[in-house]
Amino acid sequence: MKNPTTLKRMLATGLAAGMLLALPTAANAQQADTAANDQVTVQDVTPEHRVDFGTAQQRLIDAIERRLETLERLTNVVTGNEHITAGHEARLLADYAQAANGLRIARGDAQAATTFDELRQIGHHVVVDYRIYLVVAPKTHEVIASDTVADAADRMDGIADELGAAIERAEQAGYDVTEARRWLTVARDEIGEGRRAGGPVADDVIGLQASDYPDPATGALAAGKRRLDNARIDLREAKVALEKSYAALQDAVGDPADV
Amino acid sequence: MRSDRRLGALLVAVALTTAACAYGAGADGAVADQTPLISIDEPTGGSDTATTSSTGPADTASFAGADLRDGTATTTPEPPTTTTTTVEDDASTATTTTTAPAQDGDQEATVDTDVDLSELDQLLAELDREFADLDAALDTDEGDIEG
Repeated sequence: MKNPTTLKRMLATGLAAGMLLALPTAANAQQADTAANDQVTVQDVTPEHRVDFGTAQQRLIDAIERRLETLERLTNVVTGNEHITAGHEARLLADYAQAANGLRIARGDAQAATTFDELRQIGHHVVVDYRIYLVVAPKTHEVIASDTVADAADRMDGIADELGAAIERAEQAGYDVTEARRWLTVARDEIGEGRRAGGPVADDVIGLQASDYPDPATGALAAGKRRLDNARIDLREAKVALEKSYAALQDAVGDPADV
Repeated sequence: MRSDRRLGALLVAVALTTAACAYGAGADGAVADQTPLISIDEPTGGSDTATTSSTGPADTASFAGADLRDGTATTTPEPPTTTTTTVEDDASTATTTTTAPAQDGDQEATVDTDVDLSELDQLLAELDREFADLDAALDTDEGDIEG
């Protein structure tokens, strides 16, 4: 019977020799599988890519699909929006159609790709040449917000006109409408400020293209957002002023309104 | 001779009558030269109720339909109206009725102060919705496929 220590040494030596023999065989087998399944040549395959080509390809296809879905969602948003002007709507829809056409071609290219370099090139093209998330979507929402500001300002002007006529009637009937008129003037000023701040943003950003990223697109979108934020504040203050004017009118005619 | 006296008396009587008629015609002519302030037209049917109309300065009352039988003119003012103002917002609905004080002794004036402000809340809500979408769009990047 052999010594237990001698047995352990023999087992360890055998395992090491077996691993040395087995590893190159396994590596060769994996390379052969990769070449067969993904048609990637051995020279193209780096260690980190050997098992990921199919996953990377699917990720790229999914990314393209998400962009196509985003364009479809934006199309629905624009066509269903009641504030956007017809001209702005037409321009945005034309942008979407052009981008969607290119992305469908890219999706076909990604499905037919056989190398990582192809996938990289397609991915770069999808991002840089379309900029769906960094240019198209933001500019769409700035255009809609801008047109919404302009439309809201117009409608507030209509309400201010009605209120002005009511104030006029009250004044002709002999009531003191000084306070009501003062708040109406404030409201009209705020409406005007809001329109001037937010109205032009749509035309400032609607022409931005993917190639405009990062400059001037980033700066233009940021400036547009600031102007729209200011416009929203102006219209909020206009609303408050209109309500105060109306309350003052009701006070003047002797029956305060609970507004 | 008696016949001659009778004939003379008759001629004198005719002359006096003629003179009296001429005097009466002259008086009528003088009245006709005056421009009447109110023209009176007899209505068809021979009724003794006359309708009058007059055109005058802006503050002259209209006498359409006036009954002149007893020499007085009556007018029917527009009935006073009541203005109901309804204001709706998120918190409450208020209804006010406004009646202006009388402008003169006979007629009560009203003023319509009805303005619907409920659209303001709707406008601001739509604006907030668009801005929420805008904020979300500006907070998105291209993901991790670039490069």
